Amino acid sequence: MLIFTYSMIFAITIVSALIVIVSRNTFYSAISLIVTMIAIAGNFLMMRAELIALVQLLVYAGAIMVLFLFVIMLLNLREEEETPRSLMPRKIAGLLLAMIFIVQAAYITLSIFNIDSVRDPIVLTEEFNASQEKRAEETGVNAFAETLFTKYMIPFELTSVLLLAAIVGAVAVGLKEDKRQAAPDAPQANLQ
Amino acid sequence: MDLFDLITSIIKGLAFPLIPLTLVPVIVLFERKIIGWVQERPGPNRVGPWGVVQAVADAAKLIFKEDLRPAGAIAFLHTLAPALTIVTTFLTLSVVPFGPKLSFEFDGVMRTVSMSVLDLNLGLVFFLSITSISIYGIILAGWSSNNKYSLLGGLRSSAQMVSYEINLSFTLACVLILAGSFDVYDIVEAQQGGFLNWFIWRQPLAFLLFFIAQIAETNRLPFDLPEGESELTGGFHTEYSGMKFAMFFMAEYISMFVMAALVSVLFLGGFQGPVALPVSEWIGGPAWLTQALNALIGLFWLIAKIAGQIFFMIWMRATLPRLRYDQLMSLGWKVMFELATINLIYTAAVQLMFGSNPMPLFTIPFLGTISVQWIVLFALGAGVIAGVELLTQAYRRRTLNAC
Repeated sequence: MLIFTYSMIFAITIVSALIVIVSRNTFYSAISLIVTMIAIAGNFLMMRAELIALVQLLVYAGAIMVLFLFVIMLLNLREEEETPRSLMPRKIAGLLLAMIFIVQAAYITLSIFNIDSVRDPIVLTEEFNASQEKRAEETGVNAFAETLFTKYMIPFELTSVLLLAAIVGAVAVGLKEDKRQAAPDAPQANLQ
Repeated sequence: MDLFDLITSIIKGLAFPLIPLTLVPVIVLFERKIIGWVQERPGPNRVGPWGVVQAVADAAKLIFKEDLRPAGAIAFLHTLAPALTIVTTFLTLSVVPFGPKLSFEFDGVMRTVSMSVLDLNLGLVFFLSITSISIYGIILAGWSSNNKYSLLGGLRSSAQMVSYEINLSFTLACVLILAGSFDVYDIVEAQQGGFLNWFIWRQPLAFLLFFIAQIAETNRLPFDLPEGESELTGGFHTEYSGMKFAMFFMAEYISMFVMAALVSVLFLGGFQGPVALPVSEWIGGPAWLTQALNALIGLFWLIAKIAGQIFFMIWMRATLPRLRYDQLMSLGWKVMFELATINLIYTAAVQLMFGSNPMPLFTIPFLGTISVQWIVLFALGAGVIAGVELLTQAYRRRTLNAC
């Protein structure tokens, strides 16, 4: 039963993530990205990280993807408008990123599971689940907040500064375009 | 998860959604009657005595109506959207506590059952995340209908709901700070002992902001811009008919019910009465009788509070004109967001300084739990009313002089 739920959620995550890349229609890509986000929340839930699962739903599936859809609907993107460019630099960059990702993922899985020999996956998940149940008691909201605001305080704040920089950048880009449009008929006196 | 959990979850999952489902026709009838009363007309009075069967007739009409889909609509999403809306609405219902926890002896062990469908210790975060997901129903409905009015309605609603959701969660955080828990039962417990302990006395500003934000979140007038008839015909549900439209309609009324229930839980003591009366002790009897009685009293008080709020919402709908879209956005981002942020910082600071004890500097003397915010709010309200009155008088005088 448990292994069935796990594999269902994993399958949904991977298939919907694949659709995001493969689909030619921007809107469908965005929708399957929402499904991916919800499935990732399900992954967190299966790992007994209830708070992170709910925050994942709230922030990624609920807020960020709404803005994605909003932009897509506003701009009404179509596939014909996509200009074909040389794909070679993108492919090389993609390969590089994929390799980095695979190394990281392998490192994390190996360090968690401590795989010495091939073992029964059901026993493995049950053991993992038992250890997670113990961990869930230690990592309530209080413990989560405490680690976030003490041990990981600086990365947390840096991330928010990064987001702020992105907002400022977006505003700057928007202002620049506005000026360029307004420039021809704007009187010189107004600019000073 | 054993047999007991399985049985109780099935019973709860079947029984509690029935409460708002059966109340939807009643709310619709009352809405039409109250609006008729406000506008000095009888309202529905043809079908049955006092128009009682009107809602049933409407429902029957919707069931037998043809289910149309416009040409060029995306069939899958067009069907998915109403389903998504109503499912997420019922999911938000699952955190509402309808009464105190019950305890039974099952298989020789005492077990407690909560009177909410889900007994989560992160109940309010769950509520917020499901509310944020519920936006997709409206966006998908707007997109898949292949109609510009629908699309614009969907766009407006997504922007509106995202904006007001921030206010919703910021004001909710104030209550969480006071109660120190995400669990709805802990929040109700923190307001025990008479109506003076309700959080509305300690957080009047948060109550006001939450109430406004929840009306915007449920797309009710005066914030029903996603479906403003004069500009967008039917908004996101322009192209829906029959039962699919009925699903949107029911979802709106059920989410009204859920939001009112949540306001009761957060600010009005939840299922507790205004005065803590030990009614069950007076009647006595075996333990199961006292428990059943307590549960019924809790249900009564919750429904009474919800009914009062729904009456207020209908009253507002009948009285206030619809806001313009830019007014809505500037209210959300330039007024309410600032107030909510200031209130959150204030609450956190006061809680850090004084803990949960009565706060000497921040409450009205001799009235324990009542926050000084009330004085500020009353002064502001009186100032606004007096200002408007003075302005109108001056205006009248000037126009009279001009004549």
